[in-house]
Amino acid sequence: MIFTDYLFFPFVLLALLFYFILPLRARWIGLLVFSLVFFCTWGLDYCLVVLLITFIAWLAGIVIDSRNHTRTKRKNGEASETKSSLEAGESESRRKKQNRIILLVSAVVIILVLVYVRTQQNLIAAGFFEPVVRTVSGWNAAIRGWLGTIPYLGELVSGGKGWNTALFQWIFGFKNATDKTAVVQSVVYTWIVPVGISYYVLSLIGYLADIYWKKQCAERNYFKLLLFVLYFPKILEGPISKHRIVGPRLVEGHRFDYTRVCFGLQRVVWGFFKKLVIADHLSFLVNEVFGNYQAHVGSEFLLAAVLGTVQLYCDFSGCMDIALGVSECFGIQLEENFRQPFASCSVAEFWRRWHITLGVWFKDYVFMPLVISPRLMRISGFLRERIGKRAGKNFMTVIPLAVVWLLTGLWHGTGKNYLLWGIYWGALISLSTVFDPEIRKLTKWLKIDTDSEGFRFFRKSRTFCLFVIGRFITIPGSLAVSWYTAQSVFTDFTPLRLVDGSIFTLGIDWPRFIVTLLAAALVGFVGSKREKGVHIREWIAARPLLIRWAIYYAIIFAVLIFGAYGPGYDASSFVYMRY
Amino acid sequence: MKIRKLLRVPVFVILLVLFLILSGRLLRPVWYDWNNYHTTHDFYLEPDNRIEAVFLGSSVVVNGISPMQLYEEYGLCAYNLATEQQPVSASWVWLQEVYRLHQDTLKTVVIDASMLTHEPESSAFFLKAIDRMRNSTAKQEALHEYAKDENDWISLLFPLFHYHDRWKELEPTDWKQDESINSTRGYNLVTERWIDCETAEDPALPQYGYDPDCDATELAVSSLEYFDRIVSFCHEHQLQLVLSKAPTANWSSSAHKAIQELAGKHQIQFFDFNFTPYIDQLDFRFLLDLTDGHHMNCYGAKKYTHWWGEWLSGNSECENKKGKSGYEYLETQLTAYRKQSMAAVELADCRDVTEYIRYAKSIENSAVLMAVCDEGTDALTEEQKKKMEEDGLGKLARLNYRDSYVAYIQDGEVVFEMDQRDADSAENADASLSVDFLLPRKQRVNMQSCGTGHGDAFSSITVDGVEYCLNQRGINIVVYDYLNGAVVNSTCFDTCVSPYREADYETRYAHALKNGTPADAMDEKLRELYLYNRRYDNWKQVYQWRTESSSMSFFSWLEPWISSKGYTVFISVMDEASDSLTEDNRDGMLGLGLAALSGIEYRDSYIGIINDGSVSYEELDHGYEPIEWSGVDCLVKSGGMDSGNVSSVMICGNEYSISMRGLNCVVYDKELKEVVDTVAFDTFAAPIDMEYKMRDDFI
Amino acid sequence: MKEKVLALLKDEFPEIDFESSCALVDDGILDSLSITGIIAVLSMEFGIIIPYEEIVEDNFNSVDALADMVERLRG
Repeated sequence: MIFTDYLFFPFVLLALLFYFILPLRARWIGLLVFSLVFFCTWGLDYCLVVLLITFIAWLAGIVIDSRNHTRTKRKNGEASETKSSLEAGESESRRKKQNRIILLVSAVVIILVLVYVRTQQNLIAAGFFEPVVRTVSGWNAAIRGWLGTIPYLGELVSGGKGWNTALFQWIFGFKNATDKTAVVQSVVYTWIVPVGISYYVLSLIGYLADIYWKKQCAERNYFKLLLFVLYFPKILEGPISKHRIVGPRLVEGHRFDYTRVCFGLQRVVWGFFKKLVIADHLSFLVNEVFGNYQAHVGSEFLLAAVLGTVQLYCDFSGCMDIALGVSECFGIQLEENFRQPFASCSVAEFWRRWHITLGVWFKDYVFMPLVISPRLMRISGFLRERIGKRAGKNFMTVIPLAVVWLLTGLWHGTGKNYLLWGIYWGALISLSTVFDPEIRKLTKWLKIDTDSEGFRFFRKSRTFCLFVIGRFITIPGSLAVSWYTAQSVFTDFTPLRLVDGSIFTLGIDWPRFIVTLLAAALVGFVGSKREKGVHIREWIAARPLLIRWAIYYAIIFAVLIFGAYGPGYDASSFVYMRY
Repeated sequence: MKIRKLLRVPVFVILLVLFLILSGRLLRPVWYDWNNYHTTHDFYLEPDNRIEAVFLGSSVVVNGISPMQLYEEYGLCAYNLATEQQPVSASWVWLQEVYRLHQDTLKTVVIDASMLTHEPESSAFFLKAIDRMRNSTAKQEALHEYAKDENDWISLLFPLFHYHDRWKELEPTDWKQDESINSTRGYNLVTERWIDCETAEDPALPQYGYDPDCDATELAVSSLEYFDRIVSFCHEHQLQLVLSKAPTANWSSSAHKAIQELAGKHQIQFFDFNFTPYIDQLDFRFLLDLTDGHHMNCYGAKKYTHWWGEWLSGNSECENKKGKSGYEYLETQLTAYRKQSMAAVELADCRDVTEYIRYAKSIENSAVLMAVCDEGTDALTEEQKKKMEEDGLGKLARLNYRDSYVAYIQDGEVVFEMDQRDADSAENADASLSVDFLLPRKQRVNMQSCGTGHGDAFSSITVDGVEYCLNQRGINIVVYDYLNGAVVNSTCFDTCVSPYREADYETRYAHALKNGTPADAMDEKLRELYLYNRRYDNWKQVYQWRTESSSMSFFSWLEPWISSKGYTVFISVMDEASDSLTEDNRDGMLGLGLAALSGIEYRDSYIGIINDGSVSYEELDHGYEPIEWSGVDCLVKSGGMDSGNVSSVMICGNEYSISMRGLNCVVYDKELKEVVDTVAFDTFAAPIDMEYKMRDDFI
Repeated sequence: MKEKVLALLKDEFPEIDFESSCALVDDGILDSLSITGIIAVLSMEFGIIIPYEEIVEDNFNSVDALADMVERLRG
């Protein structure tokens, strides 16, 4: 079940009903049951996967947590002994610390391996890897098979497929060259099939890391941890929650609050508005222009990239609105994932406003640990002494940034284009940090008032343009097409195409086009008000009844009548749900 | 306070649901074309347990069966539940529905075979066919089967979800729907003839002759599945099921064979009106009785319905319901039908524009809209002008040469007339007339007229944005039934050239034949009709020889082509053609004038040409070279075994000879300028009436 | 200690006004990139190892808090 199924809304209403009927203490159980049901609509086998992964994480969490407490206990115990054993205690604690690291890493690896193996099972079931199926117990034959495919590796990689798919195919040693395309397709398919896996695995890794760093205690109740993982508003597309923040909120029962439920429902409707009226319509245009790229020219690619940006924002933030709105009805506040990202003045600020929880996750669990790692400190210190303070400082920023952005790129997609995308953003942020002093000098020299409206507008537009360029890299499926389309913007602009009416043939006709643009303008307007601090729902609540109800009915009917749903529309999958 | 707050919730929800239902109603499409709306709407106004015979199928049946005529002529209570592109799955649902409401009286189900041979162009036609059906278990089951997944199914249950996208296409007909009955009981009456259709180039001949050696076409699997259900249903409820195939231009022997096998398998009768004898029983003429090559017009429907009426009276349990209690409503409907629907036919048959206008005025709820294009009054007679004056159309009677003119007559009274003076005073840029007004039911009308004297010849009559005017030279008239929102007739009288319209085709054709008018002297359409009939007759002749003649000999084959004028027969010998000839054969040939042929010897070459019934050329040769004859655009060759072993009849660059051992014969129709038949008789191996071969694809 | 830290920070990040608030992180004056720089310079200068658990807003929200943290970690 996804958010735009007809049954989702009745499902939520039913869940709400049960939630508020159950006694306070047991309300989380109701949530768990409904979340399980929700997840099971995707397939019972995926349910087993998530149960297993959660079990491993739960176990690991408890083990790490107990070792934490043992260490503290032992230390206290040792404090009363002779001072000479203090050193012994330190080396002891160091060993224990290493143990914990090993434990932590192994838990993480198990999770990843399980995920990986699970995806293979689908392929095996589909019969593509006959040799592997037969040799599941016979490793000799498998090794022989692998060796036999080494010659294929070069061919596969140079054949232009993603490096990871080539590796993949090589590891599983299939020899039949004609199976390649079919397998690549099935690889892509099964890679996206385990629902929500990228989101909850990150949440769980964060959970374990937080325990390890003693920021929280382990969750002793397996089912409460399971609820955290499966919680249905956030299972599909995030936000990537921290257990120490959201966990307690999930488990404590919340009382019914009329205003809160109303606000929540309003937010849900607003999310559907963004998704169905704007994002899904624009997706037709974007898919047509980039999917059928030989038939289009530079100006159309530019238009589609810009609209593709609007589409991505409305799609993803719309889903977030639905998720957070539903959660708000239950009284559970999830983390925001978007905060008017197009009001950002710098690239770094943009990624603090777009997909916030992902940025926070990478910051807390990759960036910071890297920054304070002793090895990095040492090299940075070395550079500082040898070359200069700035070099050391830059090194300390750029290296972790590079790692973070490579990983971010990979998280978004398993292809060369996503890697490039990660590098693109990493480079932008690194460069803006490294050359920050120079830029400041430049603006001073040009006598630009950095606080002026004009300059801020310039910065916001710049951020938007940079994001649009990023979209050029990711919307087409391959780098070759990205290059072709980006090139055409300059070599074959043909601006007349934009005004001769042919834009209404790009997948959406002119009435829909107008409606979509008006809706996007409305979203932009609301966003700008939010940025200035106006709380829209409260503003509406302060209006008289007739106006309030008129607004509600207007938005609901806008969704029902203008929305891209029903027979005749392709079931457009959520852009971010493939992760 | 709290209670008041909580009370708001149900009120909000109820209002929301109300809006949802209303907008669903608004966005749901109403299809008036092909009688879609009225077929279902009127069906539910029928009292329960009356209908005895029901007709199912696609648009071919919609145009073909008039249940009102069945009642008028035979007293039968029938209903035409066919719809446009009705897939068999929809027929199945409708059968259940008609049985649900008429189970006590339903006796016979006639289903047309068109939809069994292929899937409809789009699966949306299924929905179109059953959308207006009332909710019933059958409909729910059908929707459930049709839906691809739950989301699909839920959107089918609620018209708002299904049709929400129509907000861009809302038409005035969506806002106000037609509540009246149109009394046709599911029948769609059209008066246009295929021969008038401009795209009818080389119209196809009826199949007429069935070829039993063909391969049966594959029937659509899903159609068969639903057909099986229909058969079991009829069996279970003791309903008589009959298969029919209305005459159309796109049928074939293969399709016939497939349906025949299907009918045989289920032991039901199958009447195929594309082949003899049924097409003969109908006396059906494609060019005149079809409207576009596939669908019947009112003239064809009359014959088709009449046949079915007679058949049902004698071969089914349907009874004559005239005067029976409970069936009085059919009399009222018949009166309304005559008034509304037959009016269209009456109008189409009018020859005189004044009679037309008078009749149109007398129709109830009629708006007569007139616009002149190019020139409209030059040929009017004084009497016609006088009649127009009497009817209140003075300006039309006095209209000047090449002037513009529009007029509006409502319910028999002339509301306004406008001529060139009005155009000039209106100060239009191009001195044409243009006027907008509303009909009694708020339909927007726009009429324009421009005579050649004042600009580019043009006329236009639009109602609610839809153009109905023929825009041809003369007086264009649209008769519009404003109550039902339907056009009764749209026509044009070319009164620039002639005061009266031509008589209908049958009359003129019979007249021309009686007078012996040569084809070249006929006007274009008549000549077309004449040539078409000739081709049909030729084809019938060929088929009859192939299937019906008792002895298929050279002589019986040759007979029709030499007993009438206009044919040329080419005979070319290949290899050896004499060995099996008997004395009687040779005498026969001599009697026909084929002197040389009667004396043919072993391995001789021979060319013979019979023109207009008499032998015009013969050549017999014993030499070592093949012989040749060439005429205008044709070349004949013949060679015996020792003389090249060749036979060729080339006409206009195409080879027609079968090139078989023996006598190769080709007959050519000079008037049609096409080859009619080609046959070869192996008179070496077998007697002249035993071994022959026909070529199928010579036309 | 506090003056030392402040001087160090001012030298390293001349564009940031460290005394303008007591919620440098919460107000967005310090972002993750500047925090890394602060960590680097502090550990380099004072020879301390800042463990991960110490990287919380409370320690970085004001110069006082930073100074306290350095004191604590020096032992």
